[in-house]
Amino acid sequence: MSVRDQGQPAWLVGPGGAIAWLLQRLSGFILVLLLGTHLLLLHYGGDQQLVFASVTIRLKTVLFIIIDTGLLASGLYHGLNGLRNVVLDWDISRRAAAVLTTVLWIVGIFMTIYGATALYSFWAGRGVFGG
Amino acid sequence: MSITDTKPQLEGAKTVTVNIFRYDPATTDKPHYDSWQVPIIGSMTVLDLLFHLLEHEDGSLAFRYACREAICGSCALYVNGSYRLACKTQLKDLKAPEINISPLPHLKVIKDLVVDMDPFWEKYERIKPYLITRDEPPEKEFLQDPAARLKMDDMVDCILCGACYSGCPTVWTDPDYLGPAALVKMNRFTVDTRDQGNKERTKLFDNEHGVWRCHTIFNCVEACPKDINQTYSIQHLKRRAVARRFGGK
Repeated sequence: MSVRDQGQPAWLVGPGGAIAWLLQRLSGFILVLLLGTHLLLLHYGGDQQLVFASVTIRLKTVLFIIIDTGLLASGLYHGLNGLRNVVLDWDISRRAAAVLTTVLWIVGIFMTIYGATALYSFWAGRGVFGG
Repeated sequence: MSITDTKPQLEGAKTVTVNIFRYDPATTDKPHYDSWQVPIIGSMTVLDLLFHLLEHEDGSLAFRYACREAICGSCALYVNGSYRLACKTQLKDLKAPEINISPLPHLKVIKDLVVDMDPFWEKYERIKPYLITRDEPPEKEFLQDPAARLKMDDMVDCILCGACYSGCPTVWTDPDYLGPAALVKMNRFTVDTRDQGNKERTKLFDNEHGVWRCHTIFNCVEACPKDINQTYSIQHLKRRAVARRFGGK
């Protein structure tokens, strides 16, 4: 719908995207920082062998847990908000945009919890998913 | 006497092939390009070329112009794949054997090289492009020191030709997006020390069809015939919007 067709211009109403934009920048910065650290630690730190036992040990280390949780949360936010921006470029209705944002938040939170469950399994000493 | 009777005879003059977009919604003709051979006379501009065709080849050719000195913004066109002001562009500078002239892309064509600029102007009006003051007006004039004026230097050069608006991919996909020119003007008043309308202007650009739709593609910067950095202005407005969310001015 063009500006002239609508009684109330859509861009005069409702919340803006300032916080989403700020979080996109922050998550991008965190991603660059943590990805670099992650790669450095994986390739140059400690045991080079990628086997189940070494991964288990790694996931019992506080540093790895912090880095991987940060990667998980910032990666999910950055990716899902990026997807939201791509869809919003199609000039969808305000209602559709609100639904999309809600769905993406639910997906993001679910994926973060799901991913964290896998990350914390060894830390809790219960194996993968409590097995 | 037909218009061709007055056509200048320029024996030996260098000529150039000119292809011009033609479309008249009043006829059944489909959009097409008409071609002519045009003599290059001195430091002939694209606007001179259009006048030459209007006077000597086809009196029905439609195009916009006004000042002829690159300050009114009326004659912005798409020439050889670039956004240019017809009055400012000399043929010799194009350095091309053929010249292709089209109207500003992605805007509705009214006739030939004339496009519908209404959406552009409607959005421009929305951003309140004038000084907003709340205090009592001063006795003489609003004073502004040179350093404060310098901050607006780039933005006040905008002649509202619409090249950036036409070249912005977000404008193409989102008809509600304000567009680079309106946002530059918005920033021009945001940094103006005399203006007091920041609060009401912020809600105009801090929303999903405002600055947040800009993905810093820089097409506007490339299109601008006045070399204005629209993306800088839009990024400045983004930072301003975030600052306001946290209690800033």
